[in-house]
Amino acid sequence: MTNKEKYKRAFSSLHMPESYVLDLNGNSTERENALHGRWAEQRKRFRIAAAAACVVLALCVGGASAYAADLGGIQRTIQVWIHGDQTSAVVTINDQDGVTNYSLTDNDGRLIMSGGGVAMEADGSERPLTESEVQDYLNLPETETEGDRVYLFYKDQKIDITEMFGEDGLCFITVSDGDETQYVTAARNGGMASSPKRYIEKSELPAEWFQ
Amino acid sequence: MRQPVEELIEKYKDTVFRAALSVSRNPEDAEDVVQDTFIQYMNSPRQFESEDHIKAWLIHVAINKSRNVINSFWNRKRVKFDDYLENTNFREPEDRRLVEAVFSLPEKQRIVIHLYYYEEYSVREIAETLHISEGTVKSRLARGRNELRSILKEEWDDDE
Repeated sequence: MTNKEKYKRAFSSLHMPESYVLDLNGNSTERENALHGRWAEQRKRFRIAAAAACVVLALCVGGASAYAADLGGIQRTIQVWIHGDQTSAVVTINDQDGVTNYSLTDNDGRLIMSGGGVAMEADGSERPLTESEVQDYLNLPETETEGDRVYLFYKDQKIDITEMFGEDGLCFITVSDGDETQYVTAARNGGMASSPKRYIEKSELPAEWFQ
Repeated sequence: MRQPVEELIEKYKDTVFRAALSVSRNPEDAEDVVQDTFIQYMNSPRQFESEDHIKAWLIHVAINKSRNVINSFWNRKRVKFDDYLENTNFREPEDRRLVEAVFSLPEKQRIVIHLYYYEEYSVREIAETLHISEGTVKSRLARGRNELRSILKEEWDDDE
């Protein structure tokens, strides 16, 4: 055995007692707010994915200390990438009165995102998204502004695209996870569209992205 | 980037505990340091570049907090640590001898030794975590190794 192996084996025996419970709940409101600060921004994302069915989904980031206690509907556990971190989440699809709502919670029931959207088939008909489509949507590239920098997140990748915008306020960038390539069109105002086949052109993007 | 503190606790509580214990040599103080370290993470608005960055920050905070503790309450540590080792289930008898040898080193050497051998940090990473020069890390590593070799004899090889 090497010294490192001996050292690791010996020190692996030292650990926090199982009986010790971390008390992180004092001043809970303040701490929860700090914990979920990045989720409390109430920002919205809008993306277009050119897939088999056209998916239009708008999810609003959950507020501080928000819990989804009883959502009903179909629940599935999915693996999603959020801000470069892969995490396990429960997606709930609740179709009521012709309106489909989607909620994404962590394993403790804390609300991560919620919103609405539809899948539009080639014949123009609309239907609720499946959990698989929600997962695919969440694993698409996304942009995020941190301070004065704009970052593109794709799975475990984080790319600073601040200097990549043209005079029209658009940035065209290709990202790949090794298996799949995504052609990303990002707008300086935070809008973003991606496709596995081609860049989404300016003429196809919402007009408000350029106002 | 940020990660939910619950995930970090699950993954790194023992890492932070060992780092804290390496400095304080007192399991109860180390437990308190673990708690304070994660609370500081929760209350800090700081953004991180990666999960490794978060881990390094947690270790750095835990080491600093542990140093504050030992500067305040040095005398009651040894007894607590001996009790703790007595109740620890080591896989092999030599494991306990190694732990005791490491904890007999001066604090500045043992934390460098711990980060190098347990966390597998490079000299540069240790220097960044502890905010000391790479030369200082190398010299503390060398002194620590020599000391371990002299205590453990054939149980501590010459490899690095």
